[in-house]
Amino acid sequence: MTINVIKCLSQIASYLKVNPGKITLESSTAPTRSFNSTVITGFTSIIFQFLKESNCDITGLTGAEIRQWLEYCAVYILNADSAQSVEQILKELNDLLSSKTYLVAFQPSIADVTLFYCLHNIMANLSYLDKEKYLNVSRWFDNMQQDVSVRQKNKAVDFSTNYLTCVAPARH
Amino acid sequence: MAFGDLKSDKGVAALDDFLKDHSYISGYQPTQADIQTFQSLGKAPNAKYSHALRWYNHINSFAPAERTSFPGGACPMKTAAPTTAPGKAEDDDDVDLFASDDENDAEAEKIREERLKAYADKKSKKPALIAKSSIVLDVKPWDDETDMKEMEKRVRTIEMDGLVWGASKLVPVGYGIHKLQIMSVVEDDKVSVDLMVEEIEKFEDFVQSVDIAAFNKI
Repeated sequence: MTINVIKCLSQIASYLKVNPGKITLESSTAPTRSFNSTVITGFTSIIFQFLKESNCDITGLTGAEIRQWLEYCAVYILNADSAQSVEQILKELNDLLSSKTYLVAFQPSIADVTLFYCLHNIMANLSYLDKEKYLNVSRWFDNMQQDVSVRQKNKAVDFSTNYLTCVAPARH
Repeated sequence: MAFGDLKSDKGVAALDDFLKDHSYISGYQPTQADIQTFQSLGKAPNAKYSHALRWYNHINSFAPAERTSFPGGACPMKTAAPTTAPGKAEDDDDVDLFASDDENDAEAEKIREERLKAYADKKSKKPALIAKSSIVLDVKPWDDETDMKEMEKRVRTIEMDGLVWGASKLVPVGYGIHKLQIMSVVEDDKVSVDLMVEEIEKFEDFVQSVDIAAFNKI
């Protein structure tokens, strides 16, 4: 159930149109990136370096919120090793996204993009019933994946409710 | 009006239901359809409609100048509202058992033509993105001696392009009579529900009447 950190980071780099450089995973979770003789260690630090290189400046209150989300991805999602912790994360996100369209403020940010890549594997393997259970996450994810620059080469996850309509027609 | 009267509780509930798994009214970005719906809503919905409220707050966050620059968008609910003709129920009550066959046929033909026309009209107005509906039909037999198994078999023999039969079950109505509840998934563009009902009603030996128990857009 572990998430491929290196793949995640290189997708973020290609979303921001920067050179990912050489990313290696030395210790258990902290990735190291070396590019142009600068060596940076740590998931969020690398993403911030990417942002700097693509001239995206995030400051102020939204910047702080975005930083918190990146930390959340690094600490919780990338370390989610059991089905139980994945469930916990999805539950948290589902509650939170019930009142939000995007994670931070009112438009997609690097926080959404990072979370998207971190969750992609998990969402792709959810059963239809679970997708329904975490409806708010599903809605957010479906909305994010429609943007081709975000989705890149990832397979689009199917959120159609056809199947559920046959199983439980009364609710659909 | 897209979701019925958005000033009424029912309209807001419909909007809330739609926004459960949609971030925007149309497609995956804010469009004029959002603005229209936003304007006709007027004020923030009750907190119990959490999805509608989330959407309201989101649209509310855009500046007026930004709003006018949204692209236009089709409102899927507008044309896809109640597809089942409300007149259908009345038709069922009108069955005149003693009428001559001729008259019946002529009338049926007329109704059929009208429906086909209405259906064609409806179809031409419908945007292409709407695909399928799930329909639950109640098929009622004449009496308790009707062979329900045979009836189900016959119903399932109906084949149309874009029609898929789903699960079915027998539901007791009373006095030992059961009705057949059968699910189906149809492609809106290809299958007319009225036509489907008529096809089933053609098994006169078994079927007394057919009702649409549930009709849902997928």
